[in-house]
Amino acid sequence: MRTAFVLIWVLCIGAVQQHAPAPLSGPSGAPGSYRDLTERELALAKAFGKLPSALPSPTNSLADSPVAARLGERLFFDPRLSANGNLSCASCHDPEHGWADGRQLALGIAQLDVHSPSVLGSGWNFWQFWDGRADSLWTQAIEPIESPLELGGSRMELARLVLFAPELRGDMRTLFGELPDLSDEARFPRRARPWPVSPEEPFRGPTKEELLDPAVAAWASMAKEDQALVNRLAVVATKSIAAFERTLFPQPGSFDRFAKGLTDGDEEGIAALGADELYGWRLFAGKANCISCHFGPSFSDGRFHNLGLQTNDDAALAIEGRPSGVRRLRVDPWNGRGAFSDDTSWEANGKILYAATGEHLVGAFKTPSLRGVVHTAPYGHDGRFASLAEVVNFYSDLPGESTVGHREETLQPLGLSPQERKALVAFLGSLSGPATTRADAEEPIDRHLKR
Amino acid sequence: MNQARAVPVGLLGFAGLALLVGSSCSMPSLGGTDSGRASAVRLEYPDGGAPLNQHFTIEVFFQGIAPVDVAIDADMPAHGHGMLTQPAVEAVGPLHYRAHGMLFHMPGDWVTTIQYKSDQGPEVVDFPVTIDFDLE
Repeated sequence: MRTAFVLIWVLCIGAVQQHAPAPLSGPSGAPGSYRDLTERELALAKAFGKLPSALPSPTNSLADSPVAARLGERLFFDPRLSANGNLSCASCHDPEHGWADGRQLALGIAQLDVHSPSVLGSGWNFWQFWDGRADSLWTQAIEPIESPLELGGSRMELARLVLFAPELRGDMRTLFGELPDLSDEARFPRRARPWPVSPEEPFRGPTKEELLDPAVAAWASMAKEDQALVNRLAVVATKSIAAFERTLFPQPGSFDRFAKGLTDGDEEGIAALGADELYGWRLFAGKANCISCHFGPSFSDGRFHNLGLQTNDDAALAIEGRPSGVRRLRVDPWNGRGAFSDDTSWEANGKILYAATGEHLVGAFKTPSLRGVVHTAPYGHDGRFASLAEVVNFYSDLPGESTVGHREETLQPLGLSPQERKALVAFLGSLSGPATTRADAEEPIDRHLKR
Repeated sequence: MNQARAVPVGLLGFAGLALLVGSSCSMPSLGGTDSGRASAVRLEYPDGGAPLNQHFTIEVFFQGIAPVDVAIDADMPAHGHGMLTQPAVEAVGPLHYRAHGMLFHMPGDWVTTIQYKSDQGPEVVDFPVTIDFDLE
């Protein structure tokens, strides 16, 4: 079933229509019970109230391999991937913190300028990273492993780990085939990673400054065919990490029980939402119009928006967002059109071809899913909101003027009453079930749905 | 650039014709200029109409003019932003163009804009359309 349709087939005078908001609002008062919800509010609830599966990942032939997911899980939690031996992917994506880290800004070997998003539901994303500079989970995974700010490791160490660690080697053989011999350290230095790809000069060699990094110098010294072999090994490792991450989902919340109750005519399920939550849903889908961006079963459009978060107060910390992401995406040798992709066709990678960059996207960041949101505070690309109440207050008041790009004009102060703010926070809570544990991650999603 | 901007011709005859044609295949929309010439631009969305938050391709047909430098884009005037994609325009024939990579990523009021030049100069034709959730 297609996800949307043209509601109004407009062919007449456009001036007024072009500036009229979409007819999304319903009644503004608090519903006494679900029977007071409009047909539209009920239909939207039934359409959104079910956990989706991960999106297909045609560029990763291992995406749905249980062997790859098992290898990926071990790598995800393995601190041997980090330069200091203390950090792993799970340091910033910790099951104890909703698979985020609970910090305002991510902290690897050094502090980053963005907040760690949860990896729960990351298989729903069209794009990875806040600026969408990675078009798949496997493409994304290599950057934090090698970034000097994050794990500070290298793809050579990743390749050697999956070859030499007894508990990883068997799965690697299954996925890769006959394993190569990397024991000649003259050809395969223990620690080697390439220099960053420059969007301005994608085919340049390393700079003098970059060669001061021994890992970069080691990579530059390798034969191209040896570099290619290490890349192929590292790609299988990151595709395995992606296969694991695709098994990570938030748990269904009371909103899902409510929606299922509506569909099945089950009063007990319908009763899962209380009065505040029902009112919050009405506001979410109506007056507050949160569903402009947080729609569908994942409660995210997966796209990019400028909320005007970056203001005069913190202009020095401003980051460009989506345009920078697109420039980096296009030159990334690991993108879906690159040599390591399992489907380089434009049919599978149209999003790369058509991705826009331009002034209208400056300051835009990816819309996060709202599922499991009570477990993943703080919020925002820079983690500025400590609580969901702060998020709701922001949309109600819209303080400050954006100094990086411009805030989307559809955002206007909502002027919410205290009761409305409380109801919206209550509704957001209904999108979260119990915290997802590491053990839950191994369960198929349909088992979650049966609970 | 001195361009004439026109919303689609709002005559009932055009609308009725478009709906009739739309019921038999993909959903077309007729546009025209306000210059009074017998030129027209027809736009067809995919079967079932423009989808929400999915890439799609549109077909654009011209009649009575010989367009050059055809550009196709869309925006949400009330939101102050356009699409998150840069469509690629393909000349299928002298009077038939195709735009790949269209994306209406939000529900609400969109305007697809066809820009072109003819022997009468530059023209801009707008096709408003409202996109909503599929609740069927």
